[in-house]
Amino acid sequence: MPHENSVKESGQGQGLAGLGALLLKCTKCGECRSVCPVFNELGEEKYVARGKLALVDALGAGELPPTDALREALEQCLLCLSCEARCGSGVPVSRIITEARAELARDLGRPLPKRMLYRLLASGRGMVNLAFRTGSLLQPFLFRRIPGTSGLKRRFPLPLVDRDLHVPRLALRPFRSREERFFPAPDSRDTVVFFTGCLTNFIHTQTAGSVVKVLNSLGISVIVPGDQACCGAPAHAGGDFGAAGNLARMNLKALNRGRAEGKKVVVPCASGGYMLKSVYSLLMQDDPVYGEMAADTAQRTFDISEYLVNHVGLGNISPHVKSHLSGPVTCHDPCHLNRGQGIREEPRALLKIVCDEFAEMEDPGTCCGSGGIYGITHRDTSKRILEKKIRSILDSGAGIVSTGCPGCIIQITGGLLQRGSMVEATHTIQLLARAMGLV
Amino acid sequence: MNPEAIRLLSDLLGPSNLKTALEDRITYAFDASGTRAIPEAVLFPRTREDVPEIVKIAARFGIPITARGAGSGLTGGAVAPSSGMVLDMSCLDRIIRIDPGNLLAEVEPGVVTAELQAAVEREGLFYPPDPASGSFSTIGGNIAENAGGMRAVKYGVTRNYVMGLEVVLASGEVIHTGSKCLKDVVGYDLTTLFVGSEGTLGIITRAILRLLPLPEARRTLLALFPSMSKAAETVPRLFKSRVVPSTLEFMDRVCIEVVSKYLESGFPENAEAVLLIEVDGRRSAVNEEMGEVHRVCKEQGAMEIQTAASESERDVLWRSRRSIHNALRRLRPRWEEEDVSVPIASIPAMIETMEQIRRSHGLLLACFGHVGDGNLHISYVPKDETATDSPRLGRARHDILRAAVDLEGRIAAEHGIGSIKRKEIGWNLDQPTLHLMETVKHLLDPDGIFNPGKIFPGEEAGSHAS
Ligand SMILES: Cc1cc2nc3c(=O)[nH]c(=O)nc-3n(C[C@H](O)[C@H](O)[C@H](O)COP(=O)(O)OP(=O)(O)OC[C@H]3O[C@@H](n4cnc5c(N)ncnc54)[C@H](O)[C@@H]3O)c2cc1C
Ligand code: SF4
Ligand code: SF4
Repeated sequence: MPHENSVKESGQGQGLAGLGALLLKCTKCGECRSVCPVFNELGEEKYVARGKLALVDALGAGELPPTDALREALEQCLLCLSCEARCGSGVPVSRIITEARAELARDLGRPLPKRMLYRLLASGRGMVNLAFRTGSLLQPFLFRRIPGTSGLKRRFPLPLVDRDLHVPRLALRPFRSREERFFPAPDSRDTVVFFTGCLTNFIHTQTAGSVVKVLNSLGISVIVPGDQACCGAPAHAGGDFGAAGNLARMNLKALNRGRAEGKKVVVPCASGGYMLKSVYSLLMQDDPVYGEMAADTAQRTFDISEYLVNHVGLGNISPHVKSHLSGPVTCHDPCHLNRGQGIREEPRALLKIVCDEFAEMEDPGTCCGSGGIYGITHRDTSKRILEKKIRSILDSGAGIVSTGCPGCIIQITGGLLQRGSMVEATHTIQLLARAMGLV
Repeated sequence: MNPEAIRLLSDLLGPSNLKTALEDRITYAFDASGTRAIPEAVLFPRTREDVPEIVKIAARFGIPITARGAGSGLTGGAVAPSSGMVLDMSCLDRIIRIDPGNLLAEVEPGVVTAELQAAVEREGLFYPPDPASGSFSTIGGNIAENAGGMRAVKYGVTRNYVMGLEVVLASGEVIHTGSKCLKDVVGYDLTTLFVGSEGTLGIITRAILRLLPLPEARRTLLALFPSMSKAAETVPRLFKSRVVPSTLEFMDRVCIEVVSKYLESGFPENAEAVLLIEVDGRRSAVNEEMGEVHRVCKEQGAMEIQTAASESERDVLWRSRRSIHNALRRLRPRWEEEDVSVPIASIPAMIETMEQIRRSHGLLLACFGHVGDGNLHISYVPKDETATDSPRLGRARHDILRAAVDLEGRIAAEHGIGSIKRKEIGWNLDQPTLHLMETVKHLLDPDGIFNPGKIFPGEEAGSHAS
């Protein structure tokens, strides 16, 4: 259930002054201690929502100067929304933390690698394409392939990349092209706009392909606007509201132009969907032109599983399922799908029509520790959080773990490889495409 | 803080387990009471053996030391004075052993209550104390506050489940109270002295807890009543028909309203009170008792009775009771909260007085709690949302506590005295009794290093944040 409070006040980027009333909502009850994955590993108050809020409060009150130690405490957050979902007072923790990160960036500047990343992503398609293209050409020199998987391991010491880190292979060609692509369905009964998100576009291009193939076979035509960009989640998480706002405008424009206008938007990426549904409205709240467009687009945005189950209907999908997947399948709920969008049942409903055996893992909604770039900047804690997830996956006895977030797929694949496990982590839509005989 | 003390503590614990940076201290400046004071240092003992050494250093330099569990306390108990140190006991979180043969568990104080409950339940055992904060509060905090909870009417409170304790005294000596034996009259009962001592007499480093067999079955019922008195009278009627429910919770009209709104699931408009009743035990007995509960509620004029046939239906019934706090907090973030108890037969009288207080002070006032054991929680704010009217709230608070005392009740039922009810402690304790307590405190902690500013009137404490 999205909290009413998270979007009521004025837009993001207002600084700490705008947070007073939100901070006051926190009664310091400590309930968030029971769900925070970072606190669970590190055990100190400054790593749980309550402590972080106390720090932001002290910063706002001038009791605490902006320091690197404060920044580090606020960086220790996956924005997994666990605390927010649990909090009895409805404190919009993620909003406060991103706002405080922005404040600290103003005061302390941003560390160079992050600054470069946000700039790159905010620059729009051209630069990003170039960067990924260069990356995909360089990767044979930097990494070696891990046999039998889509993973890579580094060859040389690299900044930010530790020895065990599993690096996903970049596709040689991104899924999107500069021009709008249109995939008409024979006997089309609906046309949707496909918001791909970066990882699906540059890495999991097969997933992108599956989205189109599945939709087309169900009689739904697909528009892929060419000038869509990164959803802005990394920049937003880092408190770079300028960059995130630019990306929001770019995407809103792309998703509402020409024949895309007014159509339903489908997203195969949990974070991308969450940005479109909840964050863009907040970012654009004070923007006279884009504010309304953001609110309107949010109403028309659906996670791919949500669209399939609620708008196409299982009854229309089941007849297309040609073969069932063998062996038990389990499902990991990404933070931004489960808590961010309240979507839990839809992926399961799809899985149940494609597999014979569904094996629920323990606590399928706990964060996998990926948290955008947290997995890179806080490798050690991230790995410890991941370890728990991997244990629940393996305990479930499933041979496939399905999920709705490309970031989670990368993180979980890394954890499984580390364990030498043969369990496959993949996107729900991929499994559906497989069962429908499309891939 | 004395630099020598810091050096010694840092040598003892390792620098990463002693924090003096402002960023760390600010995050240990509060508990759930709204009381706040920034301590001088935060310490993280990693083993039980660290604790006596820490205490010796604190004693040598006369530095106040406040143990802290999860900081979920509602009376400021875990807030150290600004000249003091906080000892975060939640790092000592090992379940040392679960012993089904002896029906007991040995634990470190930082174990989270719900984690212990889950662990013993996996072995078919049962740890009954059940504070609403159980998913994050610690056993050490529960013992130090003698926490109650939903099941107190049948099973009692934390005190009834503590068989023995390991406690570090202010001298640094380690003592052991009680034993693994259910029957034990060897010397004074020191265990009970430390239960509910709010961290002022010693630091608990280990506990032997009593367990019960997990009841085979439980049944839950929710009944709506057209008047508070009808609901309240149901309680003695139940006892009369020889049913002791494991849970007997009630909520008043204001709670019903806010909860209905919060859950978007309506209770009937004219319902004035809700009772949530649970019975547990052997399956056959439970079914029979539930029938009896149903009958009594009906006889008392319940307008609607819902029963749960499965665990998920039970969750639905519990949802309304569990949501009260959240629902109130969505309405206004800050409520004053009182936790009082009265002899169980005086509940209707107490509720009636609350109605008068609500009217005469112009308050939004919600009453809910553990009607079966006489424990009421009263949450109140000025009716007018813009009023920041602390004198009025102060008068209301005075009247609420006074009303409890007048009915031979207590000003604190399960949340303790802490720093916030020190001034009123004399309303319940006569002078010689209070004096004896102070003498005990002085005897065990002559320099007053353990959690100063708590329980007794007149000492320094953290400031109450607005
Ligand atoms: C939402 C909510 C619901 C609650 N519901 C209930 C309820 O139903 N029933 C109830 O009784 N209470 C309830 N409480 C109050 C609170 O949770 C309890 O008092 C709980 O026992 C405190 O545990 P803690 O671990 O958080 O202790 P803290 O708050 O950290 O400390 C409480 C006291 O214990 C002392 N202490 C902690 N550890 C030790 C130790 N090892 N040795 C010596 N002293 C120690 C501290 O110094 C302090 O005085 C609730 C609180 C909240 C926020
Ligand atoms: S659960 Fe919410 S109100 Fe409670 S301490 Fe955490 S953020 Fe604050
Ligand atoms: S968002 Fe997640 S990681 Fe961040 S404080 Fe909340 S629970 Fe912890």
